[in-house]
Amino acid sequence: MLNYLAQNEPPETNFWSIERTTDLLYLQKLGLWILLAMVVAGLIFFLLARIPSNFRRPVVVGITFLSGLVYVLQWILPKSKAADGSTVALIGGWNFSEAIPVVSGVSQILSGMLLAMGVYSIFRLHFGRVFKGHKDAFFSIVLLVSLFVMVVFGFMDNAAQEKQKDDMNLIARVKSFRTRAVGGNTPEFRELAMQSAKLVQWKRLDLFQRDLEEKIRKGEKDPSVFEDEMRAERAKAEQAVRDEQARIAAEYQQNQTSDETLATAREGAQIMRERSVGAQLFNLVFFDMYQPLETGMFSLIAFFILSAAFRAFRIRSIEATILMATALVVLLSFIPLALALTSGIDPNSFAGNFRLDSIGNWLLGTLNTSAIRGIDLGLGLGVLAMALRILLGLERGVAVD
Amino acid sequence: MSWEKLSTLDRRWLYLCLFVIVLWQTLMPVGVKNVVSPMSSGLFDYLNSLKENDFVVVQSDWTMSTQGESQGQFQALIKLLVRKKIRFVVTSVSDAACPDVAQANIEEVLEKEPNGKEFQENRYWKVAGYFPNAENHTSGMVNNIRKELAPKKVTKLPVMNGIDDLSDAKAVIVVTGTASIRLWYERMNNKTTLGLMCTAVMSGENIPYWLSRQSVGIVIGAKGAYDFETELHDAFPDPKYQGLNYSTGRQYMSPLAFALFFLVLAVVVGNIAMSQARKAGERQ
Repeated sequence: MLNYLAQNEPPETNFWSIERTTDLLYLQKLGLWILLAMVVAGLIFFLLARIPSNFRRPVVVGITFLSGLVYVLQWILPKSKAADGSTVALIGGWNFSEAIPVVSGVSQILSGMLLAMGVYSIFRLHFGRVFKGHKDAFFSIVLLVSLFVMVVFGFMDNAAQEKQKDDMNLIARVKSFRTRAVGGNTPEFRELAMQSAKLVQWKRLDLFQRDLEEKIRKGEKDPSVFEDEMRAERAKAEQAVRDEQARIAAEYQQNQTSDETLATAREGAQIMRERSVGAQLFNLVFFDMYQPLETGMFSLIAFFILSAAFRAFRIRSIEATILMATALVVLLSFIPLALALTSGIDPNSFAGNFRLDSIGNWLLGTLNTSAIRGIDLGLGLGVLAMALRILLGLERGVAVD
Repeated sequence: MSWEKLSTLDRRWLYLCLFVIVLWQTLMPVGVKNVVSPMSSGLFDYLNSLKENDFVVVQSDWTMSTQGESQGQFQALIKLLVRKKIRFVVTSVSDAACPDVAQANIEEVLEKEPNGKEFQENRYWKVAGYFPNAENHTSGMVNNIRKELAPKKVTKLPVMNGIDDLSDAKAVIVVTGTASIRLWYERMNNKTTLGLMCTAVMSGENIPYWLSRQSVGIVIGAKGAYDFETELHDAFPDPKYQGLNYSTGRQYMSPLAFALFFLVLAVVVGNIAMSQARKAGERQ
């Protein structure tokens, strides 16, 4: 946690944040503050739960009003440019814009808590079904196992990604300084480069093998040459690893870092991530299982649309006829095969108005746009009225009633 | 077969016909010259006019559920950015799976593109990840892009060099199967140019924003992906791009076209059958 905080980009010092350093004492203090904030938040929740019912409404309405007010003020306060080019909204010399990320942060934490409550709810429901021997307990087991597998593999993949990011940061640091004296070519970088030299060559050998197998499959090469060519290529790769590792060791001794070594380390960090157990397991469940299932499920929609259109899209009145004719023209205007029927007509001539794409664009740009604008305007006014009612605590059911 | 029977045809026959048509056109597609929509060309022309090392934000809000439309659009967009060497950061707000899908698609494009190797991650591009609160994220990007992206450890990477405010980015391109673009219309505050790549069902509600010039262009559905690929083909005639300009956009066009023709036919036949059956009923 403290390492993570140290890596984050320090925000500018303002009303909400004190000056940050990477000093350990500072980070320990920050950790203490976070702990304290969690205790205080817990206490607030406890007190909120204990509020007498007749005080709950003013508390909920008050918090809703203040939270909404922040975003309202963000819109209506006049903005100006500060000397450093940033946008500021000043209230008596205090920059209100600085409060927005803080409120956003609080809102994100609340979203996270809601997510946690959702997970808790899923656990409660499905573990309950499993333990009570419900008739659908099997599906609950599948759901819970899938959830655990996805979370665990996701974290493992994330750890592999973090490791790659750390390696990339190390490479970037070495690139900027190059010499050990100022934090450049360090033993960690030497280790990374040595491993990378091996990995890069083995990956090339893998690619060579795949290429050779492909050529044999296509009949471009005789299968009998496979063993010999692979042996020769393996020997070449081993020699390349030895040469490269010798160069890296020599560079380390001389306190230098060449561009070749940096490139090898970069490629190696990428290969390490790809070959990590976490990444491979995640790829298996996400790309090889979840994605095809999702694609398959959504592809079924085409069949249902066809069936529904055949049964429900019937002309029973003038309005229905106009609607159907319009829908069919717009539908056809998205099909190049249909567009080709009228694409020979010069778009700049009078007859060009009757090209399928012109009619389609006119329907979408003129009729559809006016209708959508009307709907949006009505919707906007409705949302505004509803937002005002919620902010002022007039809407029933939002606060505790 | 009587008109009555036809109007109440068992849906399994329809499913079978659709399956056969899609299979036939996937295996033996019919190719025709494309007519590029002005909405698609608006976005392509703008992005094509950017210079090397310019920076754009790509908000990728799609997963496999809208793969048929969004994948072709996204890959065509990435191809253009790679060829023009335009730096980009990818964010996602609608689904936690979106960043992984985007990462895999970018890597797939880079593997095939001639200058894919030079277009290094962290230097030219980075998938920043998933941001759980869309409203806050969009506001954060507009108010302070560095602060918003800092927790994802993106801001220290070379890809973000010289980007201190959203106005330093040349565009925000939203590739989406949802309504996540609306927040950008509301919050953009004229800081940069907005472009959209959406599914066909999302097009109707977004066209008014293109007409009012709040977005520079809209790439709509599979046809939009085909439009973008057609533009790529015209803009990059170099033989080294041979076979790389077109992908799923054109590939899906023929099965989609025939499936839609069949849909239109089914609706027409359904209506004729209904009216004939009604007439027959009146006669009796």
